[in-house]
Amino acid sequence: MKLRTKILWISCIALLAASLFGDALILRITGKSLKSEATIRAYQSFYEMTGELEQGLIRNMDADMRSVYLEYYFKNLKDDYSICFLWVGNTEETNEIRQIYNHTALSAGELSQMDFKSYEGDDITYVDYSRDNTDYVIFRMNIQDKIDVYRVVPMAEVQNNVRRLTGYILAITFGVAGITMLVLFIILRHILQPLQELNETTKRLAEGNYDQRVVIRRKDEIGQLEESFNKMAEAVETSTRSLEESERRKTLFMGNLTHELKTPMTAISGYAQTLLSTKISRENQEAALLYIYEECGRLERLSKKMMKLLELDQDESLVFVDTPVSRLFEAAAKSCEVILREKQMTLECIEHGEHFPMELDLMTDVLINLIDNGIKASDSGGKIILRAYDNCIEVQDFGQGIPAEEQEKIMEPFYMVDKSRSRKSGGAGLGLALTAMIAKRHNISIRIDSKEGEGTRIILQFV
Amino acid sequence: MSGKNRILIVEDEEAIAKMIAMNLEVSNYDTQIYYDGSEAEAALSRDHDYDLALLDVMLPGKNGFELLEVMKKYGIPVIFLTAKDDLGSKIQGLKGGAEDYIVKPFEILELLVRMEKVLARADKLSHTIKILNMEINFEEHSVKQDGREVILKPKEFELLSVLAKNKNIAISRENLLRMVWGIEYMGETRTVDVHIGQLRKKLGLADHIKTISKMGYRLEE
Repeated sequence: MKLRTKILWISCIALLAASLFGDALILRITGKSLKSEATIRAYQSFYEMTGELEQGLIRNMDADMRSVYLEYYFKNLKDDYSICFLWVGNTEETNEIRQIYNHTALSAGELSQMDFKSYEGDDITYVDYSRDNTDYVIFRMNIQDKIDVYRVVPMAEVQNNVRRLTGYILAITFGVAGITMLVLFIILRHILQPLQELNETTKRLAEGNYDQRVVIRRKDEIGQLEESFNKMAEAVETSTRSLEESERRKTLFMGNLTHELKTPMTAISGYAQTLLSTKISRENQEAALLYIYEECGRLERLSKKMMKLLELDQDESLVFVDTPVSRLFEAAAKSCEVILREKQMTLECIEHGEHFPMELDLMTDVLINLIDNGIKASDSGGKIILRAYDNCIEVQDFGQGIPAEEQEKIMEPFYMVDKSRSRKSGGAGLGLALTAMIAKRHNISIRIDSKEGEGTRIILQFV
Repeated sequence: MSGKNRILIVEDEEAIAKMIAMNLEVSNYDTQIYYDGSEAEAALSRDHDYDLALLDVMLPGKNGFELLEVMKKYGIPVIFLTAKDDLGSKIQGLKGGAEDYIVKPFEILELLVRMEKVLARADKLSHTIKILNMEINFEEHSVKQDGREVILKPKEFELLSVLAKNKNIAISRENLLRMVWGIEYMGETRTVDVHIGQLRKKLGLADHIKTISKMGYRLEE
């Protein structure tokens, strides 16, 4: 069942229960009060009546007179009241007075047998009586020990009043309850509406629309919930996007790796097959064998680099030694001697005694890679500059440069700006990826400053 | 129609391009290699007399799919040779209008057979082959040696055809069985040996149909 319905039902029942309980209490008290009043009024009028009667009787002491007087009084009163005169005196004076004047709904016998109570020792006694769903109060007074006067007062009017009052109160109670429920209904709908919206949004989020957010319109607990929801959605979106990104890069990496492996394999396999099954000239045979040899070399270099990449990634503890830059430059220069000479290029080293903590072999590899890239990008006869300053090491070439939109991507494994040129010189696009990995382990940030046609500066900054 | 078929090769890996060319030349095709898609397109505008194009998909300049459109314009059938073996690329290639799509690495024999099929479909294959002192006519199913017709049984002729079309290339007994007798044939490879013997005898090719150990038979010229 919906929350709103639950709340409404419970409130409704509680409200009605409380109200009805209160109503019952009020009605009971009011009823009693009204009855009291009516009783007292009846008492007073009975008091007056019996007072007159008693005085009359004292004046007319003669027995005959008395009976006439009683009869007269009875006739006068019986139209207005339910009364009964009952002789209870001595039997000697009975002859006329054994008359029972009874104008009540009860018999004299019943009346005389009732258990009357008195108001604080008063002469008038009363009893509450009820018959056929009607309440009565019956008064009794004894006059001169001879006559019991009874009066039966119906409380019907009181009862009717109480009934009518009950009707009004119930009507008001239900009316108020109804209005209250209506108001509560509207308020609840207003309050709980955001929950509905939140539910919908959460569902959409779960289905994969990670950009869903809720509009926060309130500052109360629901508003806080909305705020928390937005934060959570943000976290989910970010996390999912980064996972998707990670996944995508992995797939791309694997795709590229596969391609880089397949290509030399195709060549090697093809040539080997040709050599085995096809009759070709001696010249072609030698060419085939040479290609096989070269492609094997390419595979070897590729797998070596892959291994290194994987090793570095495995969080092996590297030993960093504070090393003067001059030693680093020296090592790099030595390794690049041949390729520099082949392209008739020179290497210029500028440093001022800087020294950094580093793993010498790895950093040398980095410089060799960067110098190599610089050589490949340049025409013959140019120069490469190695520079150290502040907390940076820089490799500068004056070659082709890197287009702005490629600069971001070149660090990615297998990415090559100019595929054919790189492949021709035996590369597979892993050099920079390795460099980037080594830099990461050294806590070095890499910046690229390059302009097409002018050259490139790769800046390694130790943090 | 006679004369060599001209094949265009567009492949950016030099080693592979040269390997394909080497094999095609041996099989009596003329070849032309381009390493760049845009270069190939430019060259085609000057000379587009090719019977078939072998295209790689991932090329510098225009890629294989783009070149496909150019080839269609000149009416040159295309076979894709590529390392991209994902379903999407295959569908794109074939739906785009390529005749076939071969994934690297592939066997040369497979390439040659597929090329032959494409050329036959485009009716660019010669109906006759001249090899050694024989003239083999595929339309008439006849062989003339030194001008005189030699009678061969149907399967013998088929076997000779296969060897001649793939001259200088060794073909295994299993492959010969498949190519000549069909994949469903339940017989043994000895059938091939017997027929080879017949060919050697009837055409005096004992010196030219060579048995290459572990590889199969080869008709040499």
